[in-house]
Amino acid sequence: MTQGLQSQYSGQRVNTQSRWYTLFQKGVELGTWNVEKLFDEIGFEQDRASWAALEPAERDQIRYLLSGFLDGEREVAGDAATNLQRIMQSPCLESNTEKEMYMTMLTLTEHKHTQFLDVYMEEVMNDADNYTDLDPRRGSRIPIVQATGLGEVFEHQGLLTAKAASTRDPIDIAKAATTYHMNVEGILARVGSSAISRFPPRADFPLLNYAFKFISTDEGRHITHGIELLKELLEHERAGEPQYQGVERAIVNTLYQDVPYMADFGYMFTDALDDPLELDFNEVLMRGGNLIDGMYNETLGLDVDYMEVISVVRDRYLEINEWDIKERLAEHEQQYQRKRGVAADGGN
Amino acid sequence: MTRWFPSEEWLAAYQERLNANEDYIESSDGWGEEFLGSFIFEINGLPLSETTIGELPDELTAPFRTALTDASDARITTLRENAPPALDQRVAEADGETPRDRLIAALFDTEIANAPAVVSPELRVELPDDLENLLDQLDKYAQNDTVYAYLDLEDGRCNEATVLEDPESSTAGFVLSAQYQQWIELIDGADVIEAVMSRDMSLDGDITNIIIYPEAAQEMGDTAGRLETTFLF
Ligand SMILES: [Fe+2]
Ligand SMILES: [Fe+2]
Repeated sequence: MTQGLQSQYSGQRVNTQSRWYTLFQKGVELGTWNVEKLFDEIGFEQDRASWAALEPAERDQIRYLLSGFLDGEREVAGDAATNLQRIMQSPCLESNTEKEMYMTMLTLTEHKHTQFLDVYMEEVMNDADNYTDLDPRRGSRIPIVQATGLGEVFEHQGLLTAKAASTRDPIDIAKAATTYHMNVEGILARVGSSAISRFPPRADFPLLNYAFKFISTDEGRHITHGIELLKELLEHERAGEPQYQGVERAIVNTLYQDVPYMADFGYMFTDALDDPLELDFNEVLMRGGNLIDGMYNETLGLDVDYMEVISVVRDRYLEINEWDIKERLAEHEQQYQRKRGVAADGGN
Repeated sequence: MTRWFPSEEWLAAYQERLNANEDYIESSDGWGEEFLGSFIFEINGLPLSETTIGELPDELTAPFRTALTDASDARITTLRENAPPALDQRVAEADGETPRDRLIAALFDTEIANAPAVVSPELRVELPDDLENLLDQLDKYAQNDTVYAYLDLEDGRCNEATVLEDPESSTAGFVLSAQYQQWIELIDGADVIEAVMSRDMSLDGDITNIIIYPEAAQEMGDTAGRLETTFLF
């Protein structure tokens, strides 16, 4: 039973009126979908049949897209359990107890997302990129992620969350939350899952679609948490509290740092492969721009400089447009194979 | 002279300003050379069925009212005798002490969308040039409540700017569409990139080309913003 916005119970040490308590409670209730049960109920058959019927370039599009997700989910799951959990104890934040409670929910769901994608890619796609024996958090990102700027965003997230966990400084926390909750969850993940929802009928993946409905709902709560956290820090800054000065600038600058590499993600599963599934890079860019405007300007009340955003995306786009994505990928795949100690000539 | 928006004259002035704008010329160097650089501006939701002639700006309608007020009784009689059925009916339902008052009331209460049926050739003689021209343009160009403008943009120049009578038969690289109110905000100085990002305006076309020329897009918006404009509605 959902508690609505406010709990009807009150506790002694747990503030049941805190918005993080509400988020925790929603996570307890709505985040309970069971990955293995989903596998049992929906099965892999249709997804496998669709996969088998696709052209190689179409498969590559889906592989790149889901590889981006798989790597990203592992990264966010790892950072949540370690860095974010520690950040929630920071003295500069309110409602530490409820935030720590909520973070366990976030961590649990991120591990479920990883669980789903990891098993799904192995069971359905049974193809390259499923090198799950190498941990992306130990310098072994999935080749397509390493070959593009998407890896930069995930690295940035790891560095910023680790720093904030260590300093517990409001500015560092603002930067970490911006990369994690706004850029990775709020933009990359939403743009990616909207691409999945636009698959043409021949790419019929009921299991994938079903799971992504759950994943998107989970991500919605994570993003709410991130936005509320940033709002809290901004309120302190706007109230003139010295320790929080610079929060707004930190948030906006973190966007400018990440946004060119975020464009890589859209490019790698669309135009880099001539987009036979018609996932439409234009649509990806427009959706990304709209999410930036909605979260940064409308919800947080910031003043993002769009010329700056577009200029950095342009510079990056002109660069990646020259790439031969397959060639770059092959380089990273070879490196990956060497790391695994498997012969580079394809012995499996 | 007054630049009414939307009108052919406004668009011609906009073309002239774009071509004289050094910042636009420089920032759109190469634009449309390897892709179709033309634009269609789609102005949706013009309040043609809601707005009456009397609700148009005074600057346009005051001379019309004066002409009818000052006309001789005989002239008013001629106008009434030659009135088309649509006007007859409106006069019959209009308030006013004298036939002249009722004629004026009927005309000024006529919605723009209904003006062509009501304004007889006889009455046209009394219309001030500006008003006659604008009513003609709206009759000619409005497709339901939408007007389409076409701009041929290539390599720093606007080669052509026209209002489209038959938008179906035109193709453009980009279509920028929005409600009329949003166009007013743009011309009043709103940021075009922000308007597109927030989906207040919708942009159809190859966005990657726009991304390469953001300064040109901004200058297109700013040039409109600097044009002294009087809005019809
Ligand atoms: Fe996730
Ligand atoms: Fe998440």
